[in-house]
Amino acid sequence: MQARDRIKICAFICAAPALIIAARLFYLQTFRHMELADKTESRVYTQTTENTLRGRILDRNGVVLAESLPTYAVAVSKRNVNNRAALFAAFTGALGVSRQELNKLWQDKRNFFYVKKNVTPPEYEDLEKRVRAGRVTGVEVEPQYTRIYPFDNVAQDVLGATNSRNKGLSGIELMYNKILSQEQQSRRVKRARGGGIIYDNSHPGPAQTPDVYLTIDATGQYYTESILKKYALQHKVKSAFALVQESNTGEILAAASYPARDGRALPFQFSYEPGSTFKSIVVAAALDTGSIKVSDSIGMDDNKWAVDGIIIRDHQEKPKLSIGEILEVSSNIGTAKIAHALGARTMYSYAKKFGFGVKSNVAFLGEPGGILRDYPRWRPIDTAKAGYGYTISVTGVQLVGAYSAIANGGNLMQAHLIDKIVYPGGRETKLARPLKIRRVIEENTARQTASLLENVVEKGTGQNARVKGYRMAGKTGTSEKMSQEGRYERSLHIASFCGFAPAGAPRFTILVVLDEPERALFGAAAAAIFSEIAAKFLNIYSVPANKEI
Amino acid sequence: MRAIYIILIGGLFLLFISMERVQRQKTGHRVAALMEDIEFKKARNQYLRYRLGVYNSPDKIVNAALEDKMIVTEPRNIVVLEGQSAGQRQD
Repeated sequence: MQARDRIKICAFICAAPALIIAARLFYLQTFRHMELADKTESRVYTQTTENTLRGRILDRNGVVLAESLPTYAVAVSKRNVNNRAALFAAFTGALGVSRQELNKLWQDKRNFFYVKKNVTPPEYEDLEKRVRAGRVTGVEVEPQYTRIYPFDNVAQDVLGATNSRNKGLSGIELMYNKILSQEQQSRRVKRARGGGIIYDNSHPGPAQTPDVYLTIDATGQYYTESILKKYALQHKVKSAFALVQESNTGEILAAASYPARDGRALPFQFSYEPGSTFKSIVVAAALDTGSIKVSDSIGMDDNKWAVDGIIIRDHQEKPKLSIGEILEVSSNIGTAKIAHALGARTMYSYAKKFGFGVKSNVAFLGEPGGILRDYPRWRPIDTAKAGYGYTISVTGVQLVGAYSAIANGGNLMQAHLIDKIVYPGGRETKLARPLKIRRVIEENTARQTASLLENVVEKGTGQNARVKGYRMAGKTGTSEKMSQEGRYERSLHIASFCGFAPAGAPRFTILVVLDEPERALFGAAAAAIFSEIAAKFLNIYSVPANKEI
Repeated sequence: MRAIYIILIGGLFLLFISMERVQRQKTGHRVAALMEDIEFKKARNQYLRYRLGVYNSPDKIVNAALEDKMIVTEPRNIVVLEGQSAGQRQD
């Protein structure tokens, strides 16, 4: 064999494996590419669901009511711990976890266990120093976000709550969950030894989220809540709520509930028979249609007036009452007769115009529309009873809206709870623009009704609502609650007061409702709460006095 | 001789590349550590602002004021500096 041939054979022997490998590579890369890529993906990479950042909720003045704070979940991997005593000392010193707890966790868990979640940055910093100083290994730290509320429980009924994965569960947190939260981020990470993960450095940081501004005033909300709670405890009520609205714009300034629970905002969710607070609506409607004049008087029929064989009773001393007096003493017969004169159709029409029987545009979760039956189904006694606030059911936000219409000259304004949404980069969507839904009553009618309501506070049942130096207007209400058997219970009441301040140039419309106070309380008790809340708002907004003392 | 020069230049080039890579790695680590530090400081800053918010909450301020026997004035006593004095009739 020639030397040349031998070289060729050697070259072939050397090249053959390379050719085989190249052929195999070609086959794998070309024909089995998809299958192998999938295998690699599942073996090398994994997906983790990130605990995402959540936007802030602020009050109308930019005070933070809820935000997400970066915190840490601290855990231990037993297998990797080199000095158990030093590790426990670090945890006890920095995180305040007792040795007993740590020992129990150590004994109960096989390898991995969480020591503490929601560890704040200063706690984490302290722990890091201690761990480094002790040269301890086996500590695992997981970044997370914790929802924090700087003002603690202020407006918790409106704000609602989130779960441990930062998802809205109730209230505004749930209503605006999509806006407040980033899309649940699924992040592709490399697998590491021992079940660990390696984050890709090129992954963009957490995206910024929009901020939701409420129309609520945090300071006013605090005072409303604390005043309501004080009286609710004093009167041992089952529940209570207070709602404050800006009379001219429809913006909700405070919405307090007792007892306060996450996302249970009674001013929007509680529907009840308004009782005498509805009399102002009936009188306003009658004045607007011209069925009555302010100078008219109505006979009391010896305090017994029969409709459909049912006797409506009253306790008035005078045989006749003027329209003003009917509201001042809260006469049932008086307003029943006015409602009767108006007729079911007109009553129904005005109730609708005032916003009753339909949900407010606030659209708070669980908000009912109230009950306003179609007028063809009203019997004469239903119309008469509607005159003093029975047979219909309203929500707080509806009643406050109707009183605001009387206060502001006859316009039903759209109620607002969300002021604006501010997106990262500064772009904002203003939601709380004053929007007139419709004119409900003429301006003159509104002025006359407001004047009558002012007299209720000056001379009538609402005297507890007075605030020194200010003209106040409003109406008390007491209604019996219906039992489960469908009868009115004489022992179960709802006491309420709705009014506005200061009369003449109204700024705030306020409703206070006490559900089942222990003793038979009348609206006067609610009027006292109204007075305190009104005084706080007049103070906060520096509204000048408008009455000589 | 020419081959030696080529090998020498090639070697130097490879040395430069590897040094640059090492340096890049070091800088990367430093940047990552700084970024981590910034994130942590931001978180701590946010936490301190939260604590300030807690101390500035109406609840805390009202309680502190009550402890010092401070009383909130009635709204009618407020003097508006635009010329409208307290208790003055406006309409």
